[in-house]
Parts: sequence; structure tokens; C-alpha cells
Amino acid sequence: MKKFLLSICMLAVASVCLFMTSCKDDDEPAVVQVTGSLDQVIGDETSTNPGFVYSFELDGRTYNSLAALKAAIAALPEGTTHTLTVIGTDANGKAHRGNTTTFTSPRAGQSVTIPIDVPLHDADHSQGATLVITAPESHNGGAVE
Amino acid sequence: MKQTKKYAIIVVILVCSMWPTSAWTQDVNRTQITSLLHNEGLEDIATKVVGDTLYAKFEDRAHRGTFRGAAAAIKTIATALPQLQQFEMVLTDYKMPQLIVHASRRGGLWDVRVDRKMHDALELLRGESIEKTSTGKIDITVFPMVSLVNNKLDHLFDYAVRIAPAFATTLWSGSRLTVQPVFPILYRLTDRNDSKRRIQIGNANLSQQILSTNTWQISAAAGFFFPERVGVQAKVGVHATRNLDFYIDAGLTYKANNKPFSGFGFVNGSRQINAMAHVDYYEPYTKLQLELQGGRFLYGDYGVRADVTRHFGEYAIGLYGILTGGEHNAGFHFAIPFGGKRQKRTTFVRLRLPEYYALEYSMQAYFKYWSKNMGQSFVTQPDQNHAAHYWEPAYVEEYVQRMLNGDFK
Repeated sequence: MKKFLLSICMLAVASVCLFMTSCKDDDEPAVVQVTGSLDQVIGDETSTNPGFVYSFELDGRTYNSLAALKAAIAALPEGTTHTLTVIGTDANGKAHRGNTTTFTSPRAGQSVTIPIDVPLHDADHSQGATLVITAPESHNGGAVE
Repeated sequence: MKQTKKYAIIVVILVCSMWPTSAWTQDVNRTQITSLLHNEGLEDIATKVVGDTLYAKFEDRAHRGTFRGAAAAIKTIATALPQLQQFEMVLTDYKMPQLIVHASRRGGLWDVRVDRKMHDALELLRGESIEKTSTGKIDITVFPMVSLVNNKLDHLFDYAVRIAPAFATTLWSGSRLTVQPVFPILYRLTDRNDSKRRIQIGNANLSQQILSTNTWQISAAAGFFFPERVGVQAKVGVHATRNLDFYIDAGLTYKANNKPFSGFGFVNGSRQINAMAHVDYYEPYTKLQLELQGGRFLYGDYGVRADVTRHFGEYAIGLYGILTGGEHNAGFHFAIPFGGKRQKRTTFVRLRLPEYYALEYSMQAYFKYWSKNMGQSFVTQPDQNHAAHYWEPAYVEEYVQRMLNGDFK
């Protein structure tokens, strides 16, 4: 009986270690990365047209910075459908809405490139702005073999 | 001088053996002794009676662990031959001598010493007929294999449950021919090319222990090794003291191609040379086995690995750490008894469970360490763990003595 319990204890310790090491370490890459050329397009526009500011509408909720938008996108559940609209507001307070984009968040191991319509100060819309959402497949965990 | 002393001892023993023997030895029937030992499941039995001492050499393929066979032999013979005062047993592994057990009766109790000074006993037994041979007998040992890798974001584990029946036989002294294919049973593996999805060759090799003396241990193996390597391996060891061993092992292997449609054999450009130096020390008081190895691991990374293993009778539980190629890993391993204490071989082919179930937990399962297969080594035998085939004199001595005293079952 004592030996049986010792065996059970060893298996339990192995299981606990596996679960503990399923946690993500600080030095691991972010779970979901959001990159793309949207930063560049918005950066160029706001620097050449002072007073023109952007906000972002994700699923009807407004985010006033690109960093906040990226954090929200990174937290989306995988494989779900969402809408994103970029809004540019000029110095007079007039809002210029871009076309709304519908996208599906990627599953683990997948990457999704979303074309984004960005309204510009001169009333044109940008061409080729994108957001790339990458969901890594793995993180550092434990193994029992 | 030392050599002359040895010859003198042998001559004295031989002269004694020709001397008129005491009353009890005249009654001893060697066939009966062989029969008693064989009934305990022992094989390859050679015996000789000299004075009031019984010399025996045998292979124990029935009992779990390295000490149960010797304890069972002493109990059996002591009951059948109450006059016996001294019992000298050479324990063999695949017909090669590993240890000698010196058992002396002291007032109804047995006092046991174990060491590797087997030379004189082996000289005495040379030429004696070997009964109940194990040659060619086949063991089919069914090994379960469980693998859990916890590094996925969309599910908790990649897992694989496989079964690996090992067909093993000893063809001549020191040899072991092993074939152990690995069959997938259940799995969830993200990588479509993961070899755990396929039937693997596993172990398919011939290993040979070339020398086993008080000082030297030399062995070699050739064929397919687990996992997915094919090539040759050699190991040379020195027993520096009773509890301290040094050895080096080296291998030249290729990745084994085992895809049914691509054929079986070498994968071009996959050659690897690995070489490790090991130090292995057993501390009898704490029952700790301390191991340190350093060199080139299987996939070419240079590093060191340290293991500290505590032996709890037949249980072996240990911690390890690895530093290699700028990366690190750590974890623990254990081997726990699995099959019955005794699985006798009564037929030419025996189906059995493995003596131990062994697992190793690794804290690293991603990044460079994982993707480059760092800190890896291959195995040449299906039952390579810290409990099976543990021929350590102090360890065997303690547990033979405890079994005879009745405080270990």
C-alpha cells in the first residue's frame, strides 16, 4: 500500500509540474502579435497634418490609440468574427470614417492579414494599410516522456 | 606478487576440493541444487561444492531487480541444506558475471557481502556444466509509452499513447538481440510529420557485453536505437572503487528513415557523432546515486548533465539538470515497479510486463532547446532506467541482507 501511494504521488507531482509549466514566462513572445503597415500610414498622416487625429472602432467600441486597439485585438478569442473601422478627426472636429472591415481572429498557429481603409486629411483614403494578427502555436511548457 | 597470491589461493582451493570432504557434502546432490535454484526461476546454473562452501553462478530472469534472485537462492538452499555454512553466488546479466554475493551462516543468520571480486569463483566454476540454459529463449515484454507535451496555446497537451512490445533473446554470452517496434494507439499531435503518429522501428539491435571484470566493463551495440537512430555505440567503464565508476560512451548514428513508402535505413546527411564521459557514485548511507556526464550530446550540442537519484528499494526517484549549448533544462525522473515481483519463464517464449515503468519530466519543451533536440541521447535497450540492471555492490548487498532479515519483501 505504501509503495502504491508512492507511485501515485510521483505521478501527481509530474502532473502538477506539467500544469505549472503551462504558464507563459515573461521572456516568451506575446501570445498574439499585431503588426502591419497601419502604424506607418497613421504615423505619416498625423505628422504631416498636425491636428488630425485617429481613433478606432472595434465591434462598436472606440479606442483612442493604436496601442489600445492592438491590445484589444490581441485579446480577441480565436476564430471569432469582428468589425473594425478607422476614424480620422480633423482640426475642425469633423470625423472622416473609413470603410468598415470584417475579419476573423486567427487560431493558434495561424496568421491573418486584414486590409484597413484609412481616411486621410485630404479626403482620399489610403491604399495598402494592413494589420497582421499572428497567433503563435506554442509557448514554453513542460513534457513528460 | 598479487598474481602469485591469486594462483596460490586457487591451488589451495583445488587441493581442498580433492580432500576427503565433510559428511554433508557427500550427501549433496548437485542435480538437486540445480533443481532447487531452477524452481526459483534461475537459469544458466553452474554449481560446485568445495569443503563446506557451495559455489554457484546463475542468471535471474524471473525476479524484479538485481537482488531478489540472490536472496531467493540463499533462502531455498539454506532450507534444503541446513549444514551449509558458506554460499558464494556469481550473479550474471545476459550470461556475463556482474557481482559476487558472499553469504556466510552465523548462528542461524546469514551475513551477506557483495563485491565484484569474482575471478576466483569463476575459475572454480570454469568447466562445470551449465544447466537450464537461457540461450535462445524469447521474452516478449510489452512496454506502454506515454508522452505529454504541454506547450500548445489552443489545447492543454499534445499527447501520444503508444505500445512497444520488445522481443529479446540471449544468443551467446553477453549478447542481447532486441527488436522493439513502437505502435501508436492514441494521439493528438499538432505536427503532421511527428514520428509518434507512425509505426516506428524503435530498437532493433544486437548489443554485446564484451568484458565484465572486477575493474572493467566494455560493451557495444549496433542497429536501430530509440528514438530513430541507426548506427553503432560503444561503452567502456572502469570500476575505480566499490562505489565509484568512470566510463565513456560514444556513438556514430544516422537518423533512421522508417517511412513505409521511402524505405528503411539511413537518412543522408544526418550523421552524428556523440561522446560522453560519465562519473557514477553510489553513496550507501543515504542511498543516493550521483551521476555527472559531459561531452557531446546526440545532436551535436556540447554540455553537461547532473543527476541525483535516491533509491528506495526498487523505486528510483531523481532530479537532473542540463546545461548545453547556452541553454538549460531540468526536471526529474522516476522508475517505479510495474510487473510482478517474480515472472517465471516456464516456456520457450514468455509474454511479460516490464519490471519497471519509467518517466522523465522536462521543464523545457520549446524554443531552441526543444526545436534543436538539445541534451538528447538514445537508448539501446528497452529497459534502460535507474532501477533495472542496477549492479551496484552496496545496493545489492543491503537489499539481499534486508530480504534475508525479513524487513524487505
